Amino acid sequence: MHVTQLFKHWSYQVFAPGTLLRRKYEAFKSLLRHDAIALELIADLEEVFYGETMADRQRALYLAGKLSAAVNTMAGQLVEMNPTGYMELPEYFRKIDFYVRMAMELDQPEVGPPYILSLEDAASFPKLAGGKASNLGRAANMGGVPVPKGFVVTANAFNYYVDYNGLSDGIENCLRQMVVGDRDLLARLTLEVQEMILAGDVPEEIARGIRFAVSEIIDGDDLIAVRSSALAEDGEISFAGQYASELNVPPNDVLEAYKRVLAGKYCPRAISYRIANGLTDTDTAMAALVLPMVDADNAGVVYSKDPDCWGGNSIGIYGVRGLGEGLVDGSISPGKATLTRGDDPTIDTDCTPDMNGLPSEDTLVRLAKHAMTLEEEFGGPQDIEWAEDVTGKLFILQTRPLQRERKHAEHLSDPIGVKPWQEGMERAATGAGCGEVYYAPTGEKIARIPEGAVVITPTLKPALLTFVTKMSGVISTTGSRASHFASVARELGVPVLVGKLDGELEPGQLVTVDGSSGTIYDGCVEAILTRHRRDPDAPKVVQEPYKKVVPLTVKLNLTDPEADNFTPEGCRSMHDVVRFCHEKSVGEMFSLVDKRGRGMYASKRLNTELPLVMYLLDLGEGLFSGSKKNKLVTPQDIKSRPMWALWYGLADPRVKWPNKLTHMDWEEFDKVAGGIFSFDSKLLASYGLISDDYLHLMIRFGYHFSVVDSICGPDSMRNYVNFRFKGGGAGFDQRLLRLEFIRRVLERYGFETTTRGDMIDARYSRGSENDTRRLLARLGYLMAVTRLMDMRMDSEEMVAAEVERFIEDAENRDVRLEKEN
Amino acid sequence: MANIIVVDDISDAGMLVKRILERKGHSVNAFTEEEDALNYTRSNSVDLAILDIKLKKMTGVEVLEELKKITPDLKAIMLTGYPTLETAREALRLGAQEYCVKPINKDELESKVAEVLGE
Repeated sequence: MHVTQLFKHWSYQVFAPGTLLRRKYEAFKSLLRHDAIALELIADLEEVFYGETMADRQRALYLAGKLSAAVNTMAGQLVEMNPTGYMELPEYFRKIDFYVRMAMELDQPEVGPPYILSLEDAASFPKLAGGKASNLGRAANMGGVPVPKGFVVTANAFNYYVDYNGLSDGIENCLRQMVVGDRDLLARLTLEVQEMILAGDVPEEIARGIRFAVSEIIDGDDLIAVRSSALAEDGEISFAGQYASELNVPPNDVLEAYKRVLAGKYCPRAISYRIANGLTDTDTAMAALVLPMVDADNAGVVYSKDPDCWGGNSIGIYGVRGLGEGLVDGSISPGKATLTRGDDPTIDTDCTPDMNGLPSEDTLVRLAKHAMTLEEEFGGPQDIEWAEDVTGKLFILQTRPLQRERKHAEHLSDPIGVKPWQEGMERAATGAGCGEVYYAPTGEKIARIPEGAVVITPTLKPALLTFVTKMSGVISTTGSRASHFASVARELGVPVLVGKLDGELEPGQLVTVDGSSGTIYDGCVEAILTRHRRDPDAPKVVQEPYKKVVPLTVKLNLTDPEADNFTPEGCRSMHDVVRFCHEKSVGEMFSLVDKRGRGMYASKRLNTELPLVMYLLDLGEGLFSGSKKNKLVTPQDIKSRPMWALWYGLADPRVKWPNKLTHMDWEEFDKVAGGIFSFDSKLLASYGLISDDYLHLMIRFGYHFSVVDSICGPDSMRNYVNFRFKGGGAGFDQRLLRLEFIRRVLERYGFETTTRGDMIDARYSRGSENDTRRLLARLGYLMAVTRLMDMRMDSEEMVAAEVERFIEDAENRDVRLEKEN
Repeated sequence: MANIIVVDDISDAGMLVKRILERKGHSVNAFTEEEDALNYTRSNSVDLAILDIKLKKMTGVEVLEELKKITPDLKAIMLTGYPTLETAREALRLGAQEYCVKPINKDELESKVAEVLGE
């Protein structure tokens, strides 16, 4: 906390409280804007963390950075709203922010030499030479396995190339936009990166090294091959066929071929493959293996343990005439020989359909022997590339672990043979669940959610959070993925769908909610449930790198504002800070104007037929501009959307207001004066702070007062209505009956309520503009109807009857409201 | 229970950590002077060091390096009010298990210590 900020706060409080109100309001608006941004970012991040969106790690980093900035602003604005109240908050934010940055930090690419390694040295440095070159180097060092001369341009050389040409920022910028599955986007972005790489220059120290090394491995103008050897390639993950190789390259073109191999790192399918395996750009830095071209007579592959014959207990040799490319890309069907495994391999003629394209039997046996020694050296079955040149010399060009065939996961859109009850709902959280339909419109109902229910709710309100573990699924009329509830549901794998239901679901009816496709089915559809159990939405390798950062960013711990840990110190994640700031800022606005109405001096008196003394302070666009100069304004001057809606209900012509009774704070009146105050004294009046989409109203009706605080605008994420009602002139029991009446009505409308003594607090949030406006109109009507109600309530039965009557009347009125709009 | 040393140039901060961890049954010695902590480690078997980064003569990272020379399998938690990615990287490279940022409350401290000691 800066002393100057504090001093400014205090001096404003004393000398210019109106300015302070405006500043508080501005801070509040900014906080809400960033709240919406932060919640969207949290949802985006969750999609990446939980593997719903497969994206580059750079994207997570970028989103986390943006989240941090938004949350920082929120914390700053909350301090601005109340400098003494949340002094420690920025400190705790900075702490969490640091932990996030620490957990998200990516390995810095190494850019120092060596840039060139001999094939023999490559064996010992897989982190420099990449998998392919390192494996081949190992084979060369074994002695006895015929490997051509060759050298490696290291992964550090690639990093240096990027650095030297100043490409890091450009590449990162592209990577963070990439999402696997969006083919057009990926094609555009990878092309952009490839162009950047190809336009670069090979740094002189690398170029010189390459030229010299080339002259060492070939004679004169012999052709060479430049092959990809990315880090992590040909290890546990094969990357088979993902990266390009350059064949038949004249020595003078070696640098261009090298650049093309580097650019090949960024082809769409290699990027998708890398991301789907949870690897970063740096994890797969591109080394290049340079070998002389073998003038091949035959070429092909050997599987040291061929799954095709003898239940995998044989060696399979596949081959074609000429270069082996046609074989690996599958365009030519190869000849094939099967040999027995063991020290003395022999050809098994039963399983050798076509020897066309294969070398002599003698060569086949030699190949099989090499395959067995390589298998022994590398400790597992090998997938080996070989070539025989025109002079009959045999070469091993590559060896890597043989990939066991993985069963492909069923595609999610496979038909399951059951007709959906409803399709195309918005997906707020994926997963699938089946359970009995349970309607939970009110707090009371929410508290009684049965185990395993599919909950149907009007909004995704935070009150649901407490019971989320009981739910098999959630269907909400409104709400979005960017809500606290959806976030927690995603974490727990509870499916959440949003949208209007076409028909009626019976309470107790069994339904299946499929969060991945946005579909509801009648009954329990076992096929969908098992698909989700067997095929969790994302592979572990994608989620693994984010394990540490999830609890620091998107996880919500502060679910209960009443709990002891709802403090800055209790914040453990960015999401906690977001929740804390939002909750507290609304609370700050709620207690905006004190009873004395300080800061309201610039306000205008509302001239109305209703016997109310009300002052309005325009915070911006709350009144039509024509009314600027007037000290008196009329309800027609109100431009503020929430104020207009509330006033519409409050001024309902069906409510009979006593003519002579001016509504003001009689309690205060009793206290301060024996009638010396005039009835329109500001001390006793009602106040409204309004702007285009904001309303803060403190209204005094005789012995009770109400506060309404609301945002109502096009962005439903920001909308809310908070309402407090307190006190009354009648006996305590009658006051409680009225309170009960109000509580029941508000709960019917989807408010969450809490009562303490003769005070009730009600809250509603994140509804659409139309819904929020309708609720405000009802609330206004409720305030008008109830202002003297305690005088006539005397039994529970009467309360119940009054609730029904009120709802009916209010609905009738609504029809007109809709027509007029 | 573990033998723990705490090095913080502010005596009160060290004492606070000491009191919290002693209540968990650990034996804890708090030092404000780096030299004293190193001398203590030379003649006693220390399981865990909790080190502030800003110390009087050395940095906590340097103290960590020295401590590791004396007791290579000593575990360490860095605890600082002025975190930087550079010191975090360096401390983790030198073998610190955790890098924590002040303000730290009782729960967080207890759970980090338990985690590092493998309890």
